[in-house]
Amino acid sequence: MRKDLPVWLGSLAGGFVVATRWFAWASATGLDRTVDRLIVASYAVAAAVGFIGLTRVHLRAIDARRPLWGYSIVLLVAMYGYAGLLFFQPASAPVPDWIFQNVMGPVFATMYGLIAFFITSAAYRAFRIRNAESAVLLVAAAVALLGNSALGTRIWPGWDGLVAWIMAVPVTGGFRAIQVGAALGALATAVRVLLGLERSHLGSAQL
Amino acid sequence: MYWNGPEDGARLLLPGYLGSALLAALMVALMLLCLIRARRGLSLPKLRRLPAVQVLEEMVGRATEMGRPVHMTPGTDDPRNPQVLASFPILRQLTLAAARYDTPLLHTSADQIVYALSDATIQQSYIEAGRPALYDPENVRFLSDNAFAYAAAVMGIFRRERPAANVMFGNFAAEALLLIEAGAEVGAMQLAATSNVFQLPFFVAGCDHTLIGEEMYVAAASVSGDPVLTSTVVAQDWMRLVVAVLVLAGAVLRTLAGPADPLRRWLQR
Repeated sequence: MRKDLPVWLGSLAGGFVVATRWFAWASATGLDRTVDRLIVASYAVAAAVGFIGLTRVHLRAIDARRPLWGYSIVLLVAMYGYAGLLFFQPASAPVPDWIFQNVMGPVFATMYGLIAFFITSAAYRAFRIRNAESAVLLVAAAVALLGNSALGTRIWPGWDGLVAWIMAVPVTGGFRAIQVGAALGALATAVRVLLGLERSHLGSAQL
Repeated sequence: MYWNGPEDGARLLLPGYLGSALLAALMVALMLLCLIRARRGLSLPKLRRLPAVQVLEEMVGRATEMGRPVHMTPGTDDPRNPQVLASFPILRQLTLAAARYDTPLLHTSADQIVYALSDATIQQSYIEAGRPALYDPENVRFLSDNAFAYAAAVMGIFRRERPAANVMFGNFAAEALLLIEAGAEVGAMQLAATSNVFQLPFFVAGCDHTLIGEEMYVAAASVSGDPVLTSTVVAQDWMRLVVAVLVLAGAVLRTLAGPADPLRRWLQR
C-alpha cells in the first residue's frame, strides 16, 4: 500500500493533467488554467522543503565546525535576511531590487563570462584528432569558425555559403533526428511512469 | 495552450492536437502489446548494449581505487521534464554500485522536488543493497534553483571533494560547460546524457562518454535487462518506424501537393 498509493496518485494526477492539455472541454471550462495554478502552488510548498534542507545541512556544518563552516553562516544570514526582507517589501521595491541588481547581477554575469574561457579548453580537448569522427568535427568546426569571422570571409567569400549549408542541411538534419528520437523516448518514459512501470523516482525498483 | 473559440464545446480535442493524440495513443497501444508479450514470457528482440552505460560500474570502481567520491547530477530542470525522470533509474544503479564498493556518492540538484525524489531513491537503493548505514543525507544536496548559482556550488564541491567520476544525466543549459570543465580540472571520468541538442556538442567535446538523445531513455533498460522495461523500449523502436514512414509520406506529399498536402492538414486539425 505504501508503495502502490503514490503510483496510483501519480497515475491519476498525470492522466488528469494530460487530459487538460488535449481536450477542448478542459480549455473551455478553464480547468487547464486551474491545473497551472495548482502546479505553481505545489512548487511554492516544495520551496519550503529546500529551505528546510539547506537550514538543516548548514546548521549541522556550523555545529560540527566543519571546514569552511563560516560560509554556512553567510548563507543562512543571506537566505533568511533576504526572505525576511521580502515579507515587508515586494521584490521590486528599491532595497530588494538594489540587492538583486548589485549582488546577483554581477555574480551571474561572472559565471556566464567563465563559459567563454571554458569553451576554449573544451575545444582544445575535443579537437585533438583521435579518430575519424574527431577529424570530421575538427574540419566542420574550422569551416564554421572561418565562415563566421571577418578574416575567413576575406580569405575566401565562399565560406559563408558553406557554413550556411552545414547549418541548414547536416546540422538541422542531425538535430531533428535526435529530437524525434528523444520525443519518442520522453513519451515512452512518461507512459512508463503513468502506468507505474517505472518507480525509481519513488524510491523503489521497477515492477 | 489556451483556446476559447466559439466551437469549444463542439469538438473533442484542441485544434492542432489530433496528430500528437493519435501518435501517443498508438505508442501506448504498442507498449501495452509488448508488455503483455513480456509478461507472458514471449520472446522480445535483444537490446543493443550501450557502451556508455556499461561504464557506470567502471566509474565507481575507479573512484573506489582512488579513494574519492562519485558525483551525480540530474541537471537543472524539474521533474516535469522526462529527462529528469529518466535519471532516477540510473541514480538507483549508481547507488547500488556505490553501496557494493563502499564509495561515497554525492548527489546535487537544482530543484526542490528533484532533491526530495533523489533523496528517497538513494536511501531506498542503499536499503535494497543491504547497506542502509552507508546512506548519508549530507551527501544529497539541494544547492540552488538558479542554474549559475548551482554551477558555482558544484564547481566548489569539485574543488574541495575532488570526485573521481561525474555522471551528468538530465537536462542542462548554459551551465553544462561549467560543470564539464570543473570535472575535467579535477581529473574526473565523465559520463553525460541529455537530449538538449544545444548542449550535446559540449558534452561530446568535453566528456569521456555521452548518451545522445533517446539513448538516455533506454539506458535504464540497457543496464537492468529487465524484460518489462525492455518491452517498452521495443515499442519505442516500432514507433520510430511509424514516424519514419510518416516523415517519408509527408516529404512525398509535400513535394507533390505543396502547402495543400492533405496529411499535414489532417494531422493539424
